[in-house]
Amino acid sequence: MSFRRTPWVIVLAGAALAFVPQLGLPAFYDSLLYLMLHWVVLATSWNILSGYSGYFSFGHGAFFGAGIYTSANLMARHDWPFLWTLPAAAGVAAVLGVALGAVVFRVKGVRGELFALLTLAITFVIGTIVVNTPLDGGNGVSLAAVPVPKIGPTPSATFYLLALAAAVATLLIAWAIQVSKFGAGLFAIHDDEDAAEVLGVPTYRYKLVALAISCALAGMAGGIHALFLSYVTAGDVFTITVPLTVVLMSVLGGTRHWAGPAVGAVAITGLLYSFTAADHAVAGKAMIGVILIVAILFMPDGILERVRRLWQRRR
Amino acid sequence: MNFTLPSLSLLSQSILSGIFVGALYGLMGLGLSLSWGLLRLINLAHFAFAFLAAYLCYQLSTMGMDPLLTMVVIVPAFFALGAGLHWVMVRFRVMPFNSLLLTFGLTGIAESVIQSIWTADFRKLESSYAQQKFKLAGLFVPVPELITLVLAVGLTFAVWAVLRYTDLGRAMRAAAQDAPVAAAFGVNQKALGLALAGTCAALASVAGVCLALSFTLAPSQMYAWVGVVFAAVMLGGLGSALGPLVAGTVIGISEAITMAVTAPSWAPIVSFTLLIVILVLRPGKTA
Repeated sequence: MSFRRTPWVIVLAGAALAFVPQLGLPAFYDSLLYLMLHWVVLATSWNILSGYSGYFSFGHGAFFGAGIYTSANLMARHDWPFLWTLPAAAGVAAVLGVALGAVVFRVKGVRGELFALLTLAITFVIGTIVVNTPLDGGNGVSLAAVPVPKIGPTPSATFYLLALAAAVATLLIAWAIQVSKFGAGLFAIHDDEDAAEVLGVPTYRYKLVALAISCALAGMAGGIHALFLSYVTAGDVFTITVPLTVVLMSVLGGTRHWAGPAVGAVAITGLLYSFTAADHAVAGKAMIGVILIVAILFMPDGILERVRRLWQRRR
Repeated sequence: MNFTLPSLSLLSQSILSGIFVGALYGLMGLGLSLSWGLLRLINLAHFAFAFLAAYLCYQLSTMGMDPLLTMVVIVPAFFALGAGLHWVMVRFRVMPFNSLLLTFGLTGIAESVIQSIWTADFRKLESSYAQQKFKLAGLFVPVPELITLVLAVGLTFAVWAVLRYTDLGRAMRAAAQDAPVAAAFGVNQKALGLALAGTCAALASVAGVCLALSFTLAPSQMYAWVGVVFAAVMLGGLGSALGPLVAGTVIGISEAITMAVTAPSWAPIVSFTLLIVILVLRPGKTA
């Protein structure tokens, strides 16, 4: 029963990390750690559908963006308190995901790269609709007047703690799915969907539920991020950058393990930061490219799998 | 959404510009479609190749070379680059999906290279062609766009004829359809793959020269083309030579009409909605 220790490790690590704002580090570190956890949530939530079942979605930006715009509009136009907008953001993103999945998952031929393209196209369609309707109005939504709840000692600490809570919840969900029958079904879809279907895995329902969970978590991350940014524009949200970044993080870390995307997210955010801090942002971008290529060529199964294999060989 | 009915001359002028931009979509999509359909590699670096070629063309012509003449240097160079990339892909047995990620990494590197050499500022090629335009039946025809159209149509038909009527083309299609059987019939798949990948990159570089002729360049613009060109490739059918040009023109015209009737910001919705509908209704036909 050794793997049952895992949820306690996640919760304890989260509880320990919750004391970081008390250390009195400069606010900048809270923001950096916030971004790391933000990407942990996004990459891990992406992995629940795409990594486990092999349906690589390039539409994560759409669900993340749906969360951002739900939260931003409720706060700016309807004066909802920030924390109440988060379940709404998760809900809207999940509904959007289910609506999409209910159509797309019925079409047998939309697999692999076709699914990736379809979801990418949906991102651009939703982005175009948002820009051209009062949801955005073409100028973006400003949240400067919305108060940040006092959860931590400073606003940046508040964001950090919120992202930490989201990351702990996301990792627990990802773990719970991986060790459950549901997770086994998703992995079976990844390996051979037709065989899984024949053997009694309800593939359509599993994919739909996985997509709903994945979208809800991305929507929640978007809701938090809306207030963190405090000024949202569609041009920065509905792009190819968000999906490519989460795909990159997950593939780098390993997509067949719940912790893989988190490892990738921390590694890439940390790397990007170290290059921007040293004023080599352009070199950083090139470096990410090089790391990605090396990772794909030499460890196509991800860092985590590679480390595990090295570990087993030593024992 | 505000509908304004444009005048007939404005409408036909925008349809014409739709055809021109559609030709560039088709030219960009041609190499992408061939490498996806026949080599099973999704080459995001295609866009990086096109932009690198565009910047090289810009650089060479500021040094006094004729922009069209730069192709003599650029096209062979990119053929070698594409073949080299394919050699690596084959050597490491990269899967189709990983090829997408790997070439995304390459695109990031290319973007940084472009940014550090030519900066992130907008660059516009000043050539003798740029200002030339003439009036035909009441419509303005800019010369750079016309060159793009001619090149796109010419190359598309050349590739189509080679694939359809020559032994080389037959061998390529056979290798894509059933590699072991084709090999048994004496098709040298390795050499063929390298040649095809090189050709795709060379086509990307021609598209890049056209890009430099009629568009303002910035390194981040690379990603703006990805969505539309992928839509054209998917609509046209993977591995098809005529498909991208036809689909690209359809997308270009429908975008232009959307822009004229509503607002320019609505334009992307046309191509992507088309792509979604096609994927959902007939997924088998596109792959």
